[in-house]
Amino acid sequence: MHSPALAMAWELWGRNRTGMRVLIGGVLGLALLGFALSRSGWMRTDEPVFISSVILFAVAYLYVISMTLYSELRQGNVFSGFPARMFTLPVRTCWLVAWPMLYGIAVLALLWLAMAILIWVPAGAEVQWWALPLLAVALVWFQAVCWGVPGSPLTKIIAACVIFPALKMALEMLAWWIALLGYQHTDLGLDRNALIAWRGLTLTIFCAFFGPLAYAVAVWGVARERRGAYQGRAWLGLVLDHVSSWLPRRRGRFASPTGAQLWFEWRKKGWILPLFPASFLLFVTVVAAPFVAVPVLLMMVAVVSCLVVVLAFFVGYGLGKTSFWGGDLGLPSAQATRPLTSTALAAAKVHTAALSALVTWLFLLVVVPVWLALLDSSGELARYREVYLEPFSTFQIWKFAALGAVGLFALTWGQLVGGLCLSLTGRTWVVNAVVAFYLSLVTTSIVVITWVKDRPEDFGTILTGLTWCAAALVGVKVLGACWAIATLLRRGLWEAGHLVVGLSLWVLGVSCLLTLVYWLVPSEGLPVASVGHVPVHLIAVTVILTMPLVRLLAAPVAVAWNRVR
Amino acid sequence: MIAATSDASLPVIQLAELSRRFGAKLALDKVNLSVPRGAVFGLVGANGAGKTTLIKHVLGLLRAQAGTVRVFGSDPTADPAGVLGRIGYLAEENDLPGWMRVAELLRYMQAFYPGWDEAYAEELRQAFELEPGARVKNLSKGQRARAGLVVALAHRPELLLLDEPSSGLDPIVRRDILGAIIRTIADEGRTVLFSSHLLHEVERVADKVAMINQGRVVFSGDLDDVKHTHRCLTLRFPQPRTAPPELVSVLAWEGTGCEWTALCGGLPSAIRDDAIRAGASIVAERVPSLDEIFVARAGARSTALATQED
Repeated sequence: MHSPALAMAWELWGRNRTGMRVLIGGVLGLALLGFALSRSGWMRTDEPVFISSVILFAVAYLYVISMTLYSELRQGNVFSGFPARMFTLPVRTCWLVAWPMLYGIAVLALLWLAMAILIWVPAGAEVQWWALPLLAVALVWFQAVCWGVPGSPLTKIIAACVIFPALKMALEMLAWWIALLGYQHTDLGLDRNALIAWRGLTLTIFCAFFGPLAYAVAVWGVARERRGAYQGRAWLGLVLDHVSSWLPRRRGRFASPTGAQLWFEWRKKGWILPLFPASFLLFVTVVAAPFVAVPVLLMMVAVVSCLVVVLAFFVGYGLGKTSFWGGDLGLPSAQATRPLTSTALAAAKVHTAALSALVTWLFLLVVVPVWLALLDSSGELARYREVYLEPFSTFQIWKFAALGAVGLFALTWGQLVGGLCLSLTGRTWVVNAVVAFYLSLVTTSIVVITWVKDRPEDFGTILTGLTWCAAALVGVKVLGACWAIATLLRRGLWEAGHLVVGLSLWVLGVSCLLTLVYWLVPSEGLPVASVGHVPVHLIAVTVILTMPLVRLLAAPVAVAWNRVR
Repeated sequence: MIAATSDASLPVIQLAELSRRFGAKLALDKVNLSVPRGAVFGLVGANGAGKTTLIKHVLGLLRAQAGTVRVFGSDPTADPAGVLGRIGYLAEENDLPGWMRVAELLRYMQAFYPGWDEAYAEELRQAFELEPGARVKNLSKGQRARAGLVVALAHRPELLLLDEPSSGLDPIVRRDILGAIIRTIADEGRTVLFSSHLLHEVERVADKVAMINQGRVVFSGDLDDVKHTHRCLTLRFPQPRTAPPELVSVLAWEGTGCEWTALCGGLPSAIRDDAIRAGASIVAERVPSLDEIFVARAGARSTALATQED
């Protein structure tokens, strides 16, 4: 190793070589798949390969970001993203920052090139070259935020939530400004086409200014960190500490060990999911609400509701770990040596998940109507209410609202439990296997959808196949549940009290969701374009499959597996 | 669930032929160890010798791959709640929840231990000068160790387990930890098992000691017996020597020329006879410190292993 630059490159490669190999394997595998499919004539378009490659690229992009951020967050060093061990190297700060930024851009460019040459061009897709510099600028800004903004990951996320929309706004303003200037010199109309016509110049100016700016921010932050300017508490931590000192504290004794453990879990991570819709609505109120109409606000509510369910899985995954932001899945000795059964430890997490989902949806149900009413100055909301709720009786509306609320709560809780049970196992390979399973499921779904679009005549056959697959998966789920119960009994982990609560919630949630499905979906099924109908029973089975049962039952087994190695 | 025994005659900890492997590394190799009720048991050994692995087996955090582990007569992995309720544990890596305040931590921990002595906890908190409103993450390393000690002691556990408790701490906190051990001994029938690098501390408070090296228990017994069966002899030979003589009982040699110092293991009379047979006269004799015995034993073991490999 003759230079610090080479040593840093070697370190990046050494830490991430397995991931990089998987990435290279994925690109080559997809290229071969595309080649094989185009030769075989099974598919009339290359769309599935293209869509899969876009998903792979998105995953790879996130991986490159985590790799070039040094991922010190995974080791619990959350105060600064830049590794403190590098501060003692005899290398100037400007180079400490420059090399990982340049390596990140280089890896990104190589990845893009490989994807374009091996997959996108053979698939006949038009390669959007202009996206590469934008992704590179986003990458260096991720690094700048992580290294330059002091404080906890939450502070960095808040900073990112401000900086990235601001960057987008700056790009749009720059594009319109250039197009406006160009419009004065040419006869082109000032519309989106004008923006595209000046895209090269816009991107050049944007990247030439904001790329170096990210570098400057990162150097400034790392230099301050290096000379110990952040040795005190982070401002957000101080503010939160100050706020929390005003909040009522628990001063009484706990009634039981399980009560104490539930308090512990809730105080530690239970509030994270409810915080998301709260901050989202606050952000929208400040940034967008004054300028948008009620339909857009309603759409935002729909988006945040869907996001809550999707995010619940990831929040649940964090709930099962020692530290929400850390990568360590092992149960810390302070938790493992608590004189509680593994079932009680798991139950505290499952109950926290339920509480978290309940608070989230209560917040949305109470706050959203008030929020909409306050923002609706033109009375548009009342007109919507008349159009959409008029055909229903009050009883029907209340029934729908109750079923919907319980169903959404159950769905969110299910996703939280699904995520937390993975991290509770304490095994990375289990997490990787499940992620690989989900990714293959998404890829298969894309292939199936494309196939149906390509060959509508096969819809019936595919539907039959899907029904059999769903039935088989339900069978696997039932078998898994039986295995979980047998294991609980065999290992002395069966504690009826905790498990009955969990199972009751599951049954209640699934019942509400199924009632909604049979109520809302027409008896002939859900129409799919002009191809046919998806039968209601298939939708019902899918709903059952989305609610984790085996993981709910096996949570105590996962804790015991993690606790005793 | 296995019913835990309270029979005073049974050892609190009983390990029989305990083996544990992590991949290619053999962390524990057929370990046999018995810790009687009321003993202060010091576990000594180099870094990576297997002390923490042994303690984790006692806590039920590791399952025995071979052999058996019994704590209070129970398998700690089969009945974790039952066994852990009777143990006070202070880990080397103090991982108390940083977001909690000291008062919250004590109230939280109280919920798990029916025998929690609130007055004793308060007395310890005051003695250790821990502010009830201070967050654990804002405490210094020494204060965190003290908070961990309060939590480990306040329920007056039958077994106090301390894994390298004074590692990296200042002498004042080390004094507090030793004080805690002494306090626990004062409570009749309570047992202490602690691992440490600081052998002079082990010497001060332990009445039994086991030395673990590369996964094996090299010796185990009463501290007095260990000291009684080791001698540090200074031998004078009539002619200068380039190498020390081969004596069975010698664990380590040091010296040059005519005068050599040997650390020997065995009965003192047998050691003296061996030395005289080698033609040497004994010019000085003393009881070695535990530190010297440890270094000699660890060195002897690695030399023996190296010879085997050759």
